[in-house]
Amino acid sequence: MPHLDDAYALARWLSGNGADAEDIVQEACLRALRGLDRYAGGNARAWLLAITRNTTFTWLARNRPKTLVITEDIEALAPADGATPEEAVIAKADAAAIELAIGALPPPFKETLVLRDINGLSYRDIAEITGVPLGTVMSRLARARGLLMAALGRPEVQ
Amino acid sequence: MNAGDETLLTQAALDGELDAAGMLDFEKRLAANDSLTAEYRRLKTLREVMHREIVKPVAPPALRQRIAAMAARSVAPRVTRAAPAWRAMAASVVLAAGLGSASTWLALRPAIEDTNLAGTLVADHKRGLLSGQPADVASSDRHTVKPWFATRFALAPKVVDLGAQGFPLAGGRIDVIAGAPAPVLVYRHKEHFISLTALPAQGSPPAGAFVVDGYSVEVWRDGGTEYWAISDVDPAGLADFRQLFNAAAKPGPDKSG
Repeated sequence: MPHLDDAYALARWLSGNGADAEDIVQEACLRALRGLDRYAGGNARAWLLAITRNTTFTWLARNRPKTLVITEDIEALAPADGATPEEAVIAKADAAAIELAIGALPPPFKETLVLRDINGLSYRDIAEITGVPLGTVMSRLARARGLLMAALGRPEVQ
Repeated sequence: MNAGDETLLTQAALDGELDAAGMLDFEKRLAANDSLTAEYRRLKTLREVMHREIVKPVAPPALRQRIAAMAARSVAPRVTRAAPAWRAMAASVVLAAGLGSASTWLALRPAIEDTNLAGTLVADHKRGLLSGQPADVASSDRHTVKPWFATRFALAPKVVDLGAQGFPLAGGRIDVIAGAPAPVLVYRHKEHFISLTALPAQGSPPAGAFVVDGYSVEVWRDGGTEYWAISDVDPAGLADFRQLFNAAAKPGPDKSG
């Protein structure tokens, strides 16, 4: 079940826990099945992930409003603080540190990174799913990875 | 080009989003710029660390069963709306297959009824050489080629790097065989290219090694996959390639990516 695992992985990373992800994926699949006659053909995986992504944000706004901090202009945020760490420091990061760092990313950066590096989608599919131009996908990905590297370089997460 | 654009380009190169011309340009840029090289190496390290540490979560069996039951009910004939019914039907079959099948790439592929499969594959190989672009994604890094396939096939083919053995990975492309897309890995051997097509194994196995239009062909099977290697290297060289690929593709610690 490749698509179901993809939907679950996305919901799991965006919501931060497995139990919430199960609820979200079940609701997303229900929506997907109800919305079949609006499906216009094309990439079924991207289509299901777009529904999962929208369901996740609706679900989080309803059940976990505090996790969704709305930043006014996310693209204009100051770049990551602190120097970019050395390659060797990044190479030493463990799963817990990476999860913590991804979890701390602002939602637009987090979803772009997860869709690319966990789900393995192309830039074009990510642009379609998140509804932003290709250039925005690329800059969000660059920002997400920059923030991630900076976080992995800080001593408290080592 | 300013530093911001170079950062985006570096990401795109690592993500396999650049075409052959873009990649060539980027590699030149990389060779001439030390700070860009450092950035590239850091990002590559980050990706390797994530690849090593992060396990993609898998849907729990109970959830899988609930969804499968939901999908099965939905695929049952519905007579609510007449006009878009064919499309909804087609979509529900696609979705149910995606949700319900473990090997969508193999399952959704129609049976191959190409009577001259070898001829078709040799023609595809020649087309790649003539167009000057034997690969759609040009990269010697299997961690770039594998994800590129993964975005296009539910089940990506095995991608192994044989650079140390004299057969560096050159990239990958998608050919249409008997009306369905099939993944093709492209390897280089000295001045020659090798096209390696992965197809679902069906019927009786074809002969192991032969020559078509002057091109060497090697066919073998590994589980449910049938591999066709086409090249203008001599048959002995292609037999070596087959052995090396098989050895490297064997399941083992971080061999197949």
